[in-house]
Amino acid sequence: MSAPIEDYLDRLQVRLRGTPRQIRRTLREAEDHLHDATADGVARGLDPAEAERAAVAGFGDADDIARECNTPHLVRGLLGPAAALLGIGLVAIGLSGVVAAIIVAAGGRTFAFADHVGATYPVGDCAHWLAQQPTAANCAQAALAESVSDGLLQRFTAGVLGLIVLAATAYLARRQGTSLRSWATRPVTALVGVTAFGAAALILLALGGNAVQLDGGRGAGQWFSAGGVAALAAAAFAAIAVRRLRELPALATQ
Amino acid sequence: MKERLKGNLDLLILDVLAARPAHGYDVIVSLRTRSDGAFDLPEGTVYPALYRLEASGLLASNWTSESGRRRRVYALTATGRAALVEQRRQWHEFTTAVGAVLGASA
Repeated sequence: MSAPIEDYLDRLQVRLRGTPRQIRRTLREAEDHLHDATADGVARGLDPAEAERAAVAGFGDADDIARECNTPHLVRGLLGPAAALLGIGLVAIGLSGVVAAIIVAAGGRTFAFADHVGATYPVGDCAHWLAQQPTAANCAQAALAESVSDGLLQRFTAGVLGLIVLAATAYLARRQGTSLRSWATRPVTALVGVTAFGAAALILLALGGNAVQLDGGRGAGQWFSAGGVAALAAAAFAAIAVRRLRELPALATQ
Repeated sequence: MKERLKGNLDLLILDVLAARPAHGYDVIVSLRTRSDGAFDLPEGTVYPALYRLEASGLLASNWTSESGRRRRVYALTATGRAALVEQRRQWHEFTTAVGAVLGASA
């Protein structure tokens, strides 16, 4: 006995790729759809067998539907959010450079970038730093000046790279019919963001606390500036995650 | 027509779902009804589009029970509403520009 819907679902099932849950979901939705279309066909005056055949024909070729369902959405699903997170991480490093620069400008060079108490420097390095920093009175001052300029330059460079990554990601997102904001505010992006930035904040703030405790605060500013920005980023991602996760149960009541 | 429709399917689905949450068959029926039958895609193609929009965070879905039957119902997220506003704006810009070109050569 002919069973067009069952035959079609068999054809579709063997062509679908993905997780068992995704395949079950697609088959279930297809089955619901085909029965709805059959019921509409019968309501229009077709006999049940004819309505089933019309429903299957209207659904589209199983090869084509499976191919579209199987198309890996790697860029949308993984690379896009990962690129957004990378860009945000680099921009956060750049922002920590701004905070460190403010500390330096406020007279906190030692707090921001000095080495720990009792640090020693190889003679060759000293000669190089003194040549680079001719106004420095001794090797320790030259080392500090080098740390300040290198530390700020590296963070600002990361920030600029982050802006470039975000601009490229936004362009890619538009080409994919979505947006940078969409990739950056997905539940999974927010959860990864809160975890990564939260862990970074804890480690960096602990390093800063360690510098305060052991070295009287020498060099603590570099850790606190980065840790503070990481904590703010973690808080922002936590707020996004809470908002996005609240949207999910709200849908069930609609 | 079919290729042009497929290129704008995401916008059309977002617009249909802006009115109210719906399951896949409902979406197809709405598209057909609102276009007076002009938009008559293979009906199964709506599902990959729904999955794509959900993966992009523009839709969220849940199984719900309707007249004793479980159905997967899709709804716009806040991000989806913002994307719809932006895509509508882009569409109006595009159609205005095309209209101006065609009007100039008519």
